[in-house]
Amino acid sequence: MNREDVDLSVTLGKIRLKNPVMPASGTFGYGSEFADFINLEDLGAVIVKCITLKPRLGSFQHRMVEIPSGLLCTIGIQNVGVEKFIAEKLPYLRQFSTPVIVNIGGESIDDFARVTEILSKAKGIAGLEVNISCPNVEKGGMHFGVDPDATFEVIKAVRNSTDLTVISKLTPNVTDITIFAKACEEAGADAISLINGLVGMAIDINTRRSKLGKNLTGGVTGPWLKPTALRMVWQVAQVVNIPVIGIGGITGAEDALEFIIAGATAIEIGTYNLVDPRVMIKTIEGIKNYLTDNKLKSINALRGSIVLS
Amino acid sequence: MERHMGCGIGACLSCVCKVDKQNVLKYRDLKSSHIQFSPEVEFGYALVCKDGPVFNIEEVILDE
Repeated sequence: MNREDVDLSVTLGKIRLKNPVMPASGTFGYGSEFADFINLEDLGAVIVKCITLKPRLGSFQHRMVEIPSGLLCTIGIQNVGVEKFIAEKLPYLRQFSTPVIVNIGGESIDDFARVTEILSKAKGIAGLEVNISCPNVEKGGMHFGVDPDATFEVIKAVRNSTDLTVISKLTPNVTDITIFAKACEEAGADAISLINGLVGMAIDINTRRSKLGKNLTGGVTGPWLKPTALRMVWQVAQVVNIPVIGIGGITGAEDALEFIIAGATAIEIGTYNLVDPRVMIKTIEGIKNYLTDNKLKSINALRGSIVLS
Repeated sequence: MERHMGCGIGACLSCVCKVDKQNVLKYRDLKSSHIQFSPEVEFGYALVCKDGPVFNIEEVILDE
């Protein structure tokens, strides 16, 4: 079989991706930061940093700690706000044919609905990825994503405010992630992406303070997270009928293929973009080589092909 | 300034340094900086990887 005949394209809601590889929100800035290293045209989609209604300064300084095989970090959704994003960041992305997916956040259901409405009117956006790992100010700061009812309400509000493809990004900080996945599907999500970071902390034994300063805790990400993410993607893929996007510690094609075999339609690479800014390109090439070697014409033939016996 | 940097190219926003808005305006053209200020407050966060690592001491706020 000819390597060029391999079909890597996948579909997420209304979005047709030429390959299943995307950056995970927050590790790829607004896209232009990586232009010195890769051609954005080569990616399945570009997912930009989480955007909120108003600009946010984010967490206090001391936001990142390196841990064995990963990072502990808290950026606190620092972003320029939806208006400045549309005016100053989106025009750059419109020059590429690559679909743009905007990750969105909010502190209330109304925030999510309003940011959705504004982005839906802007040109050049294919989909929204809803970051439900945001503190719900109306409920004392508890994250939307750890309460199935709040998860349902947020996704429903976004769904009712847009015709764009809606992806719900799940947090792993819950007891049974399948309950949350089903809530998102019921609320009208077109796809589910998982997982976000697991909450953790690190202490400097000399000062006895958190290594994240006044932020105290952060999300743990990176390769050490992959087995947990893979298990959760596998669980979720069995209980929903919408596409699942695998995220968590992916460092190359082998990791990405594991997620696809577990049932993921597409994957996002996060922390490893910070180690190797060309990792997504290498992953796309590696997937293509694997399919060629295994005489598979389409990536869709591999999805969910895990052998359980 | 010294900070843990995630990406080193201005994308991850990890290596921030708290800076004073009025003093930053004395020394920098904001258009070519990566500093984000909130409209309500007089401070912002500069990126050590892009806006630094050298800062004027007057710019830096050392309370965090």
